[in-house]
Amino acid sequence: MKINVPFSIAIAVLSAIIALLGYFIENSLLNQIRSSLLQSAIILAGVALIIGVINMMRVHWVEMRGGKGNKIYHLTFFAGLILTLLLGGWFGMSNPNGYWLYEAVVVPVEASLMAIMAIFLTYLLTKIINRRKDFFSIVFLVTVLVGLLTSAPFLGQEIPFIATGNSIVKSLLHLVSNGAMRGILIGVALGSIATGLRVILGSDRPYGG
Amino acid sequence: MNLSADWLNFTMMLVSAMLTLIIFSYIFGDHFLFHLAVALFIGVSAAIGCLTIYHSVLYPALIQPIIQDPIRGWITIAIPLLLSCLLFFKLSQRWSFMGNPSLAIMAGVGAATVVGGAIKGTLFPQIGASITQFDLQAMKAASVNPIVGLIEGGVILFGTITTLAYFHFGAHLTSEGKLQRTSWIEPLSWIGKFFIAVALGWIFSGILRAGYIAFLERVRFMIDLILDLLRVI
Repeated sequence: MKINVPFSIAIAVLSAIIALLGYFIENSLLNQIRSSLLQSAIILAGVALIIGVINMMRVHWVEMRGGKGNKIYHLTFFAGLILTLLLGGWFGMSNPNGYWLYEAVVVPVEASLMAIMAIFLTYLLTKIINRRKDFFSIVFLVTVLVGLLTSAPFLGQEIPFIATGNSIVKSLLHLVSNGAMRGILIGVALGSIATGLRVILGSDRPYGG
Repeated sequence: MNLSADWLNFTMMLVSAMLTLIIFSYIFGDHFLFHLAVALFIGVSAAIGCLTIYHSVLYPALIQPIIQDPIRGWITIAIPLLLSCLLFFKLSQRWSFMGNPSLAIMAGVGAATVVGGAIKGTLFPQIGASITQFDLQAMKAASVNPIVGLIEGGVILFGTITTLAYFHFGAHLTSEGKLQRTSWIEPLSWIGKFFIAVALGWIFSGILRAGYIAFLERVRFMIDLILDLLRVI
């Protein structure tokens, strides 16, 4: 009988079983193998990120040369990338000169995107009333409004039973949402276990084996 | 070698302010400058990611061992280095398969970590927390009224069970050929939907709060910058 087990599947299954056993069985040798496997996986994840960036550069380069999209966008991308790499590489990441582009570009863009996201979400919240007029939409909307009112006084006034310290409404909402969140967390954990087991058993092969 | 701190700060604030205005202007619609800011953001973020990975993972794991002890260092890093080199074949369509073993290790160890983490980090602690909510001795130690504690524990447990019931999609075929859930699951699932609506509303309000705080911080930054510039002029 010819046993034809693809090499990659064997590696994935074996490394997964060793790593998983290390979680539940106390054994120094197993722990050592598990930690070196974990270390290798961390290194590989890091290298994968760098390969991803190289691939992104390649795509931008190909599109720029092929005249696809606006050339200035591609050039801006390259300028930001190369300048940050040069500054970070030259000064080091612990020197303020090395990461000033992070503070000048990444921090304000992220904060501003978050800020406009709040504005768009508020707008979308008003749309819920028009789009879905059912019981659960109303429950959702009321919870959002009460959640916002419990966090700060409304026009300088603290609303009784809602905004005052450990109010009844706040405690009730905490209680109900805690129950649902626990259910969701357990559901997510069960889903993760099922998905992980599919990879461990070799029925899902995200590595292309 | 250090660039002038004042010059650096001034440039940083000016770039920050310009980017903030550009991103905020998206409220009025999509435009060229917004795309430019996003392209710059992606470029800088990608570079920061690479630098962080190099300094915190690759340098200590692959380069430092060789510098400290060349012979033992090479032996220690041989396998991770070989696997890392193989991963670069993924950039080529023709030779992509050469990187599969490296990806297989990542996927295998990742899956094991997810399963182990989900069991030990989420499932057991959450089930444990549901049980301890009915621990009368713990309530006494924390000076909690046992009746109030039991009611609280009961509501949370009921919410957990009904939420899980909502995600139970098992169904059977009726005589009319329609798919239908088991009769006792339906009402539980309806209550679970209520609990989920409240939880999602609570999370949504938290996200909105964080967004408003970010908005106020940006507005405050712009006002401070304008006042500083006016003072200088």
